[in-house]
Amino acid sequence: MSNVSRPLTVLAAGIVLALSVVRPSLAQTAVPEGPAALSARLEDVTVRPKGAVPLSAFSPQPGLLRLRDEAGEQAFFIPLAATAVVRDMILTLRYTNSVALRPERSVLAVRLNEATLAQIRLDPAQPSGEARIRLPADGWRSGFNKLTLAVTQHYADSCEDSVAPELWTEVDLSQSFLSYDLGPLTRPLLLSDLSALFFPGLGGQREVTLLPPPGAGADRLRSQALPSVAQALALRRQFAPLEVRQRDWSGSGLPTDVSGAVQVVVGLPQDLAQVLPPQALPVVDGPKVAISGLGDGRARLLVTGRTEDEVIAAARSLTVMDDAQTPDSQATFPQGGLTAAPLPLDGRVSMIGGKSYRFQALGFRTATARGKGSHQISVPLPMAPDYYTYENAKVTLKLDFSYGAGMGAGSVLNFRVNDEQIHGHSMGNPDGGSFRDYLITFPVNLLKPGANALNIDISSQPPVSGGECVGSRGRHLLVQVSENSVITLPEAGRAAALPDLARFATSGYPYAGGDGRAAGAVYVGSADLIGPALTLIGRMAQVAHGPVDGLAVITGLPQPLPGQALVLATTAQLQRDDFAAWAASLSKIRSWPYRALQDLRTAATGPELSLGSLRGLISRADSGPAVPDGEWVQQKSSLGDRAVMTALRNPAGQDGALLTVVAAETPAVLAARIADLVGPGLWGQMRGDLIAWGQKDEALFSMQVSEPYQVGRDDPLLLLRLTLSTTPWYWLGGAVAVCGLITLLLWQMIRRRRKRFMETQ
Amino acid sequence: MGRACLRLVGMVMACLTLSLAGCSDSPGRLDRALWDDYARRFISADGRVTDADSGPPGITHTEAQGYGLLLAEAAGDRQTFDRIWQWTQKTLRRPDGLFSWKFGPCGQPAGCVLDANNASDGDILIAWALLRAGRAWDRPDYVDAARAISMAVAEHQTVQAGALTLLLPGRDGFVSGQAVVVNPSYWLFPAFRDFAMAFGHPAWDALSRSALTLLRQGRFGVWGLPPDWMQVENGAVALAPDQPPQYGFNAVRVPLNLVWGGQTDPALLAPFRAFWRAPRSGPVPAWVDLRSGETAPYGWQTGMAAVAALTDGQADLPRPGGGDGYYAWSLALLARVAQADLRGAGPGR
Repeated sequence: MSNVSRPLTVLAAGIVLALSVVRPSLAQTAVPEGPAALSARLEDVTVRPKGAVPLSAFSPQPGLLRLRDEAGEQAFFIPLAATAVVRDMILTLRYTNSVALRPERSVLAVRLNEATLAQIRLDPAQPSGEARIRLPADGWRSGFNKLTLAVTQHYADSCEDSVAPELWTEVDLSQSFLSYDLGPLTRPLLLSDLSALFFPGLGGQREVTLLPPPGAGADRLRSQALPSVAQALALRRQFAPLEVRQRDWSGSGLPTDVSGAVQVVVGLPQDLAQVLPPQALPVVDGPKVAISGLGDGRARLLVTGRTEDEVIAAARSLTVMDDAQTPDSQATFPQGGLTAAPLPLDGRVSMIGGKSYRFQALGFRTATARGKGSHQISVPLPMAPDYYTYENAKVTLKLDFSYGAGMGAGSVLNFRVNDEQIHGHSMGNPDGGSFRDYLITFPVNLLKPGANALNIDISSQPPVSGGECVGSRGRHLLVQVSENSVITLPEAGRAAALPDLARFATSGYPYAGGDGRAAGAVYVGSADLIGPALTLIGRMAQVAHGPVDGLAVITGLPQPLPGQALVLATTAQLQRDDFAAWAASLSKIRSWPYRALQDLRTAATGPELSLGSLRGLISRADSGPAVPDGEWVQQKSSLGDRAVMTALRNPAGQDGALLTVVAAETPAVLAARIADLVGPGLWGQMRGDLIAWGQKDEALFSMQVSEPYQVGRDDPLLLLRLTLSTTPWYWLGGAVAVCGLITLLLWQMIRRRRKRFMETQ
Repeated sequence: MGRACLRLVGMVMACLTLSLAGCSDSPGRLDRALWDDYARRFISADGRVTDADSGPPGITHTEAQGYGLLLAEAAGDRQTFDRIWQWTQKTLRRPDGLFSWKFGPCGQPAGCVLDANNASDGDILIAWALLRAGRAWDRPDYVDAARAISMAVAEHQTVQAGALTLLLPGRDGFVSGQAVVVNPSYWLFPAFRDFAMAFGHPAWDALSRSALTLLRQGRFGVWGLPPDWMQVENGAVALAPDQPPQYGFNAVRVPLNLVWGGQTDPALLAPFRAFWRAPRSGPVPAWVDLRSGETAPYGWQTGMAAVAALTDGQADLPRPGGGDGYYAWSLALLARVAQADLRGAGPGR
């Protein structure tokens, strides 16, 4: 799959996961637009009280939608936050229909949640048109709303071929808009509304401001409570990005110009009492969260406790709080239980080696695709981030599925894992078929760490029999995939090759372990980078499918940086001896791989600052260069408005600790680039160990500049195999050595035999 | 000669053994005769302290058990102290480390817990008595028990309302939305001070500060007295809506706790002194309605008079007698123990 099409797949996968239903899919063609345009559309989906969003934002196929045949339809699932009240919603459709259609029998219908709201006559005399349809406010419900565009089209009054090529109507999704006007809830906010406030759709917030107390006295809250709050809110955004900002309040009160409609105030009640009126302060009898509306659609979330430990416990509890079960404006969490104990891993399933999983355990529910046309059923396959097994190992699928009678020619099932075709099945039995333990195997290396998907593409066609006048509408067609299907993984260990930013992007590894515990810490060069760090941490929680417990943000860069570390800093903050020594300084040294330089040449040049001495970095003995010397180019330039992320083995760490550095010229630029990076447009493109990116309408550059190394927690034999599989030259060398030994042995035997023969003569 | 020496050595050893075993009570800070009278009147053989004022056969509450423990320690009566403690923890202790506050007659011959909710004054009194006894008699087990109870109170019985740290009178039923009902007489300043010094939990100093703040704010009626029950809502102090608006049998302990805890700011004690010294025809009334100014038709008890005498710094405190009930006896003896403590004879001081 192309990098460009991944973002929308992520969105679509999220919707599918959320609904666990079948949605009709479109033809699998390449997405013609760049990631920047996709990001822009996704951003438009998030809340503003008023706005317009193209229909393409709700479709995996931006551009043109072609509705074919006698009766064709396409459904869009439009997410609407429960905290948003629809005042007005208008759909503007731009369409083109075939000039062969019979106007009195050809209609484009618009349905909202299965209720038909409009019928547009498809007139061959006016084959292009634009229609505005008001979608009534009372037809909308919270969650996903099904908007269906359905055509009934005919080219003849009788004896018609229902799949004739003349039967088509196109809808330009990028030029068709949903204009919305949303208002706030009129009732008081409850904690059960929290998920809705950050819902990844219309009415949901895509940015939030965290407000801790000022001063060094609140350092512990900034370090330990804010990361949990950021994760808690980001997880409520599901797959959509959340930009987190952090500002200390001042003695004069809370800042009034915070970004986003939701502000989260974190602190001890004594501190909160200095900036909030008494009636806004709950009675605090332990780790506590409370929510209140501030009018005009704005809300305030309080995270507090009688001690700092309790505030941190409240923040941690927020990450696992079941909103639906909290219909109160405030909640106190049982003391002690969450203060030090690990968070429960409810809902987080990662498949590990040697085990079998029913689809039901993976969050999949039995799905049924009805009617003719193309459908897709998607099964999530979450993998442990450090799952490792041999290259030739096989995964076994035992599928339970069935299809109904009356399938026509061309009815097929195609099974894909991460867009790699693994199997096909023709639904050729006119009496239907039912399969139990239908066996499919595929190479394990098709799976990647983190989220994967088994996509079952269904093409259901009605039988063509007796000539064009006896066509079938295909409403009887049915395919069902059972949740009792089983996937079995081969035996595996827990090991990984690092650095690997793709692995980081799909699972947060190695900072987010598969057990939900953090491994390492996040360091920021200055306090104004806490916000970007929290944005990144929120995204890590999303890809880890649960909170990364214990992940702390530490202000200041210790010298040397211990253990596993993720660093956010400006280039100036990285100009230190210890960084220069291992050369991730991204500062005054100007060695760049040629390809990287080519990509970055357009960056604005500045005085003495530039990207760092990556050459020196990867020239270390423990991290040899993958880029030959000849490809390094010296250049003086600044990063301009770009940011760089690079990962490498931490020379100051042990046991393969990884050091990842994210740098830009200024804190403001770094904050903007992190906000761009966590969007689906760029995040899915991360790979290698060096990426550089600019504004979101620019492409992300990535490459591998250092040799990977292996980390793992299981037996040495497995690690050896991993090493050999990632460095095939060892095998070649071994094979040559074995051949040499055999040759030597044969030569010795021949010589001995000849000598014996000579002696007998 | 040899036999006499052996007898002498034997006597010395026997005395030493008895002393180490704690079989002989050391002289205490409370008049032993008074204590024996108290124990005879109100403490059963199994260690249950009965509030006889509630009418026969009397109920027991954790406050009474706490008073019994405090007075037993002050009198140096280890056996009675241990009896009371054993009965208390065996009968009233809950899984959360606190104590069900009310025990009394029910359908069962031995009686049963009548209300499983706790009363934080009783919990604090028990913990404080254990701490004092543990120090006085070198009993680490008592200190450990005191630590556990005081930590449970600090963790489960305190709430933060803005800048104020409040002591819930009981675990259930005292918080309603933003409003918290508190009992000023539960603020045992000397216990808060000792817990803070012994165990270091920050709640105790915070409780002391907030309690003093509320006592300065929470003055009602003609005399500016604290009520038995007070409501704190959004930082504002008011008379508790569901309780009699009185300064009475609860709040009379406020000056005792203040003085015992070394809080002798004249401004804090002035309302009490003014009330006691006000010219009137009869004795000081037992209670006063803080809204209407109506007073009790009967006079105060010996215990209340003892508290007043202690607050006024008098050397001779009223002595309880045969006509006094459990509460008067308890207050009178507590005032004597406080007086002894303030003279520098307190445990661990």
